[in-house]
Amino acid sequence: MPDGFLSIPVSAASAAASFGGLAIAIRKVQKKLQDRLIPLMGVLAAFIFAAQMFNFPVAGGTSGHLLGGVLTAIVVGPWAATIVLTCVLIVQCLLFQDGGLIALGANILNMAIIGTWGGWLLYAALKRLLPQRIGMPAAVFLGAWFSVVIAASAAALELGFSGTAQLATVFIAMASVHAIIGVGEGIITLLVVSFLKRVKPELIS
Amino acid sequence: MKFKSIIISLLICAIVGALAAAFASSYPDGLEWIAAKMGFEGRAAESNIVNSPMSDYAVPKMGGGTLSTVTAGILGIVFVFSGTIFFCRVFVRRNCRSEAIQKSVG
Repeated sequence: MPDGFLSIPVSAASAAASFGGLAIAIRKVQKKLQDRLIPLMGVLAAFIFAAQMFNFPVAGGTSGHLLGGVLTAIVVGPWAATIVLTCVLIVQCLLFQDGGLIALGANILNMAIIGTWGGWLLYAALKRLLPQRIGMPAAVFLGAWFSVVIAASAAALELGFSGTAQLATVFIAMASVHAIIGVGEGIITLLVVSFLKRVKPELIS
Repeated sequence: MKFKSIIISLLICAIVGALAAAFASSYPDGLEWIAAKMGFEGRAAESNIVNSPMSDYAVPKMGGGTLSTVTAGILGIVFVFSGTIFFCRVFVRRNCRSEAIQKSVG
């Protein structure tokens, strides 16, 4: 999200929320940081950044790209994934002007926290509920899909509260367009997780 | 993670990034598309308060072609990797078993 879309109060509140969430994530990861985790987090961040550059066309003249929160959470857990996604967003904002500096807090909140956690919680629940054989792929796909929809919904709420657009209209528009874009997220996440499972099974719990 | 597997993984990232840059769709993304439809795209700020060195994934003096985007992407991969390691070392590592991690990063 670029600067200019969100009001100052909404940007400030989102920044405060994302700062709090990030502080908790750092504490949690500190408690059980394993030796392998830091370089792995760096590599995952680099991969998510690279994959996010791929915008795939979606019907109707729009495009989507990977968010990567659920993919990262499956490998390093949701707390570390929040940190990884935050690092990607910071570099995209500072180096490439991809996302505004004032909106950075909101972008971290939507993608690194709400999207990653929403998607991961659905993934974890489905993985537990469904039988093993179809359970894993279904959980990966739906969790990844949901992460995009819930991140977009959070962004829509912020746009509505900022007075940028009418709340109900922008919410329905964002959720429905991202329900289609999320299918791409689900497919890419499933492909990468299946690939990792084959070449590095110890990475996928 | 061994040094060799880190290098191999980063090379894979570079290939993914180069392919992504070369084949990315230029359609607006979901938010931009809705902003245009609902008439609030004009509110987007043209530039950040601080200037980004490679805005819109283009290297200055290389223009806006594919080569420029690929170069920006590969530089980005290096920055994201080292930035994440830096972030983890500064903010996360502080009070945990640091020797083990130092060894693993080499």
